[in-house]
Amino acid sequence: MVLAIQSRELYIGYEVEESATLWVVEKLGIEVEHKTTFCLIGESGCGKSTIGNAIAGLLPPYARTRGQLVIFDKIVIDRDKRFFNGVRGKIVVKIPQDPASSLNPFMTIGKQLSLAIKHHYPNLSEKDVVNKAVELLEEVRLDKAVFNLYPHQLSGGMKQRAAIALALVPEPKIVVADEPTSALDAYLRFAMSTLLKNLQKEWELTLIFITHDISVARYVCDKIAVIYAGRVVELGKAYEVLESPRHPYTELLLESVPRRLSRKRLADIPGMPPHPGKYPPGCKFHTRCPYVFDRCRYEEPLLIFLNSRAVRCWKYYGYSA
Amino acid sequence: MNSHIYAVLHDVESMIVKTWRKRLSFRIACVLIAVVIVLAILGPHIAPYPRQGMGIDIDRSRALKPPSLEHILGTDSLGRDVLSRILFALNRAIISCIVVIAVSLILGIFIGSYAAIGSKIFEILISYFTELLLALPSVLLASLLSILMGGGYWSILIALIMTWFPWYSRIAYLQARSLRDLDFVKLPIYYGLSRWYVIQKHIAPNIVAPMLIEALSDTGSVVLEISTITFLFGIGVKSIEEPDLGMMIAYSLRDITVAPWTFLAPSATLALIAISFTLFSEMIYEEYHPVLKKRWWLWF
Repeated sequence: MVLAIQSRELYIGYEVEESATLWVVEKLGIEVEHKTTFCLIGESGCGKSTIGNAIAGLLPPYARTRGQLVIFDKIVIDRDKRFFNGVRGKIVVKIPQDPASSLNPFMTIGKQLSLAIKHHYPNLSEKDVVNKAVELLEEVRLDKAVFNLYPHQLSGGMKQRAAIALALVPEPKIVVADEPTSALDAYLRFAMSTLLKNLQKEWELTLIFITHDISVARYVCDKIAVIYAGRVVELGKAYEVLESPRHPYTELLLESVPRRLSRKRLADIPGMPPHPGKYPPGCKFHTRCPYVFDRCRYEEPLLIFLNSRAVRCWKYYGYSA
Repeated sequence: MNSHIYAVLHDVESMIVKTWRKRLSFRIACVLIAVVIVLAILGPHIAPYPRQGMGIDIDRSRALKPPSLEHILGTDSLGRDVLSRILFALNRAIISCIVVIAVSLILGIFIGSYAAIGSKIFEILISYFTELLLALPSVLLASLLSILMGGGYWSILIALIMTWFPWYSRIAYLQARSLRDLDFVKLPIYYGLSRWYVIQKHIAPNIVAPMLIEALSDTGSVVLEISTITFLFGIGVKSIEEPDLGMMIAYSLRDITVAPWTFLAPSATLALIAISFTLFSEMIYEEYHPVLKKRWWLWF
């Protein structure tokens, strides 16, 4: 068992004004084994993408960090310093959220792929570069003809596949997929998640899958972390978390997913997710929680480990499985 | 690289072709521009009296002759054929204009996009520097430079480049700013590729098409500006013999009552160039910015 990603009390925030920092992600402690799929689930604005960017080394210069992030025994984030040289773009890559903005509209797909290949393998001959690019296109189930097409000539799903091919050029070990299915329709969503799942197996990747789509997460992932207000509220194996949720937030989240042949009214979670910088005291979910009691309002719970899972809720305090 | 050029030209061509289909005045402007450019290229070869056109052959005995079959546009005060003079001047005006536009376009694109994706300090410095240059009047700068450089034609060109490239650099800056948050620009920089590489490969091809149109429509103003400088001060023209539209108008003013053709012919040529290029740009603007439609009514 090799740990691919390990974070120790990681805080990530953005400097909004001089010496005023908005902490978006707090107390993040996750461990991801190599060659597994790890999923981050949560509402929009809860800090999923920030975590993804932090792992991929793409935090903007005005971001502030605390704590540590370790990738394969290399400390990449140490307090407020980042050491991503040799890691970013080589070991860790990110598949961007919007495929349209990740491809240069004035260059053919083949040209863009060959530029990236030439950057990573400067010794390859011109012919080998083209061969490798075509190989990569086949790897993501795209036709050879795409090599000579411009991005505007591709459909959304094809663009997303081309973006994945671009990300796979340096033969990475960790791939951060930031909502790769959110811009696609239902059928393509399934095809894309199958592709990512197969690639993960074939290339032996560690896949960090960021999504708000629970059905996709159920299909793709080995482990799931449910994120709320920048904290991990529930952590565990995918089927366990999604079959028998422990945290009230996860329960409500799963109830709000439409199911086939169900005549039950869809439930929604009352209230709004808190904004970064305006997180309530105590448990961050107590403003919307149906099981709230006094202790939730004053004290923030720790991650409580129950067998193979972890829950951040006072309900389980003193409870041993 | 070929594919970039092709894509950019395709963009420019589609803009021109679309406007061509819709507007008569644009067609007229295009034809006029084509005629001017062809005349400028062929001018020195088809001029009836090349030696007079270059200003070498001077004969006061045939001065100020009215237009006739022999001299279609008459002769000036030194007995030179006005048509030949205009053809030679046209050649020079168009070439210098192309030099000014091309150099300031390239400078503008690179400086502007570097300001957009460079560090914050660079961005602020370059922005203020371009604002400073924009405030500088090109006529005064040209006179200053000609004093410093000994009054060659190059002093005009350098002064014009200095005052024109800030416009392009500002346009390029604004266009590149909208590109810099996109992943295909942001990620290569994060991955450690040099900024010049990113500008060449990803930014310049994306912003050059609208700027080429802008440059084409500025051509008329550059011709006017050069002529203004030579008309006002005679800067950059070493002797009266050299053919230049501004100088020709300036010297013909003395004979305007006796021989109006010496004044009218170069002025009409200058007006023709300015009007055709302005019409060209106005039509494209109106086609692509519907809000500005019929803006030229505001001039009156």
